[in-house]
Amino acid sequence: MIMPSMLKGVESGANFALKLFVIYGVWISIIKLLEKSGADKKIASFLSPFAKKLFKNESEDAYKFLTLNLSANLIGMGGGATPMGIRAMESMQIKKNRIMLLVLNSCGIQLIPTTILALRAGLGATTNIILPALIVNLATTVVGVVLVKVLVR
Amino acid sequence: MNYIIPIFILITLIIAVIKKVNVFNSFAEGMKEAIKLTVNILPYLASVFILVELMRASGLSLMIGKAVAPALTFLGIPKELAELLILRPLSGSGSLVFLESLYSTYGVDSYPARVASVIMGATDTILYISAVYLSTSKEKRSGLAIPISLIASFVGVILASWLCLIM
Repeated sequence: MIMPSMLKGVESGANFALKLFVIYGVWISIIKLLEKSGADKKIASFLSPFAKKLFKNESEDAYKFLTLNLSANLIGMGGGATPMGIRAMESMQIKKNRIMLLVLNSCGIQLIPTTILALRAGLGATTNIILPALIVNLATTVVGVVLVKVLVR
Repeated sequence: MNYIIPIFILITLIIAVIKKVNVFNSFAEGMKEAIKLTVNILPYLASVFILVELMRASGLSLMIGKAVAPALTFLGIPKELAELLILRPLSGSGSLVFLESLYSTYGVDSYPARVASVIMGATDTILYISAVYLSTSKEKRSGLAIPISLIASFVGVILASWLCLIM
């Protein structure tokens, strides 16, 4: 039982990796285009007043990294969001704000779950999950933000 | 709703052309990064798939499922999601593997598969994110960030289970 299970596991892993490569190939390229067109900076400047409300009393530098992290998250640039998030974390002084950033990133503020949608489309899904995913996303974000505001001093 | 993705891609391409971005090179670069990413996660995917197969063959999957099923059913969460819920905060590639196995076992349009898709799209690998984000910062403690994120995500799981019944 053990040997065939393990062999089958690795085979499924390899097959699934290929499937993911196809999805990543398309989406990373699209996101690269967005990045080069300056879309993340556009969204970042749009998010700036919102960020200043949510994260109080930080330096301009911190806000710059923060908004870039949030906008990268929104358009699904998972990989692009991380370095900005780390730099925002380093430049923020207030503990409550750092926790807020961790919670926002952990609760997944992505607008369109591209990988999941592509996986489903590849399997011929006829039902759609964009709307429920968006609602759940919004709900987890709101719950997270409220809990940070209430519980963290 | 079905047109969101094509429209999104079309707008991206139009903006890129207006901004004179080299589209072909961007795709070549995107593929290069996709290869790197795929090669990086392949060892983890293969290992988790071995784990899944062994857990199934040994009956451990069934036992975990049985143990948490009453609590999940009480909250209206499909009991098929037990393993996915445990793995989601810990590992991105691991939870993707469980999602894939839900798709192949129950079908992509089944109720548990749809709930799992929403959960995957709306939550993240909480423990991993905290570890990475704090890795270079002077302050290493994450305070209440992890418990708060876990609570918020769990509310999301319950909401997803309810929403997929009516949507």
